[in-house]
Amino acid sequence: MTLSDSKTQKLKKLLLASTKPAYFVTNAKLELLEWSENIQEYGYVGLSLMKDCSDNFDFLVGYPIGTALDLPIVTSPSGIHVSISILPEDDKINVLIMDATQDFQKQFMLQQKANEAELLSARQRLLMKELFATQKELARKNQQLEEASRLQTRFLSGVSHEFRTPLTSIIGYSDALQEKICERDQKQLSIVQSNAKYLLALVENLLDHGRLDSAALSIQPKVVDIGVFFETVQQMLLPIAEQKEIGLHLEAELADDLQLYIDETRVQQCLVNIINNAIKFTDYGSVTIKCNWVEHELTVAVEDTGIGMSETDRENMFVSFWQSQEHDRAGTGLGLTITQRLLDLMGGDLLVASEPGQGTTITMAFPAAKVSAQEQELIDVEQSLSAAKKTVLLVEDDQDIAALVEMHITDWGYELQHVNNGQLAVEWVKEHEPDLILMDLNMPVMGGLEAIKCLREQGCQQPVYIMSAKVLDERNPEHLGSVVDGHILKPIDFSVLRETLQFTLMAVQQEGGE
Amino acid sequence: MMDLSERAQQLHDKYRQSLPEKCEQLQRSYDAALLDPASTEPLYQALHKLAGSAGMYGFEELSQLSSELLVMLDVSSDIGDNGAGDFAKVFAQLQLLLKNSAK
Repeated sequence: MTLSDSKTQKLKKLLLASTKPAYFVTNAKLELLEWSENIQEYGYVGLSLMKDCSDNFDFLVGYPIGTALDLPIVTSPSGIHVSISILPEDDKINVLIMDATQDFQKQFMLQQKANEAELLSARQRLLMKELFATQKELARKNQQLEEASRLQTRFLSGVSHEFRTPLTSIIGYSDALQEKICERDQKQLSIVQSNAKYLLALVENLLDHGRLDSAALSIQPKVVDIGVFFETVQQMLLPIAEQKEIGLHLEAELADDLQLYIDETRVQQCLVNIINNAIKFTDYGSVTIKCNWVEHELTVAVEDTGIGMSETDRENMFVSFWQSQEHDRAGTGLGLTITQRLLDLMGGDLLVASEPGQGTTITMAFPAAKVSAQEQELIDVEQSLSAAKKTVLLVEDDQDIAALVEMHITDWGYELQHVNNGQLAVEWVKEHEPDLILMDLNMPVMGGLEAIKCLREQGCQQPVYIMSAKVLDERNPEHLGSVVDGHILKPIDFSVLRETLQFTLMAVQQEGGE
Repeated sequence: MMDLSERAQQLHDKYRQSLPEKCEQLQRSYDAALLDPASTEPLYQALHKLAGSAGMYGFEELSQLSSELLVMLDVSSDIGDNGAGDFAKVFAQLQLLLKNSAK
């Protein structure tokens, strides 16, 4: 497309009006040959023909003759911002001077914006530096807090551990005394027992709280006669309710001889925590435990006629160590935190309905598969058949314990390989593939934890259960991590060991079959 | 071939017969720990083994007392320390029980 003549003329006029071009011509010696009249408007005055003009036009000083040059915007003697083009032509030099005020203003504004941007950027860098420093400080503080929390957990676990042994003794010896004393003393002794059991439950909560975030808190379901289970729980807590002269009722809508797959200890722990709380916060009336089983789910509702909970209580009831400000009742503030965590682990659920002065109902739902008599028989047969092909590696330096474990495990139909220390276990596993490993901790040559580390490093994926006379690693939970599948307390309860083997090896078999 | 209860009884008898030896071993470890407070480890290991095995063979009280002594050692490894009186008393109980259980 080309512009019409009239438009071209118009544009030329506009351009000339805005740039106001002036010029002068010199020879190679920079002697003036001619100039336009309007050059004076730019302040270039006192010009003379055939005279060296480098004094008048200082931008010509040092100019390399014969070179075309566009100078950047400069200020003319009259203060106008001009652009200068030097155009050599044969032995002449043509110089064009144009008004560049608009360009200068644009450039000035651009420069100003660039300066502002640079300023902002510098400020941003400063803020970023401060932010990084704050982040670093926060990370440091966080680390300190984590360390403090770890120490606190360790301290609580240590103290709780030391409380447990004497408490267990108190309960054990008072149990033994129960039948040897008169009826009047029996009543007093039962109060000692119930209080000791209550203290033991608190201690267990403290220990579990220390294990909440570690793999040590494991779920081990087994077949449980659920009717007997609830009666035991009620009997366990009845003395505490009787002490407060309130009722503790059980309303069980369960079929006779109903057997369910649940982790008895953990479900009991949840119930004891909730029922204990209900009794604690009920001064008149009763606590009722309602339970039923429908479609793989065991539902337990604990209803009380107690003081109820405010909205704040309901919002904070699962926070560790939280105690309501609205009343003063003893406790660690851990029972509900642990209950919720255990329910999470079991895949269960918990609902709270409560109003101040109108009592509380806490409903828990536990996943619980039913085991029929025929199924139980079938499982036993299947397990004994599959057990014949399974090999258990026992790593134990105590020959007395090893002999007893070996006797039971072989009686259940498993093959057993026994070695005396971790080093021998690591070597044996290099050439054989056990289905499950039972590992003692304290052994000569190589201990259990080091052996497990070596086994995992050499790619051993088989389930490993630690056997320990102490409650495992309450003091060193970091040793457990995800490398072991659980622990078995010594003295070993052989029914627990058998169920652990059955459950774990069946799960491994099912995983392998999928 | 022996059935399970016979085998269990045999193991139990064997364990009971080993108690005097365990008693002597404990005494040796205890004496060594009294002489040198830095060498309580053999005593700890012996108690640890007893705590684990005795309960499994039906000697619950032996297991319990061993566990109590382990806890004491955990609190202070120096048995000549402030808990010395308690430790000595419980240890004497354990020795007596070991001797009686062996009969």
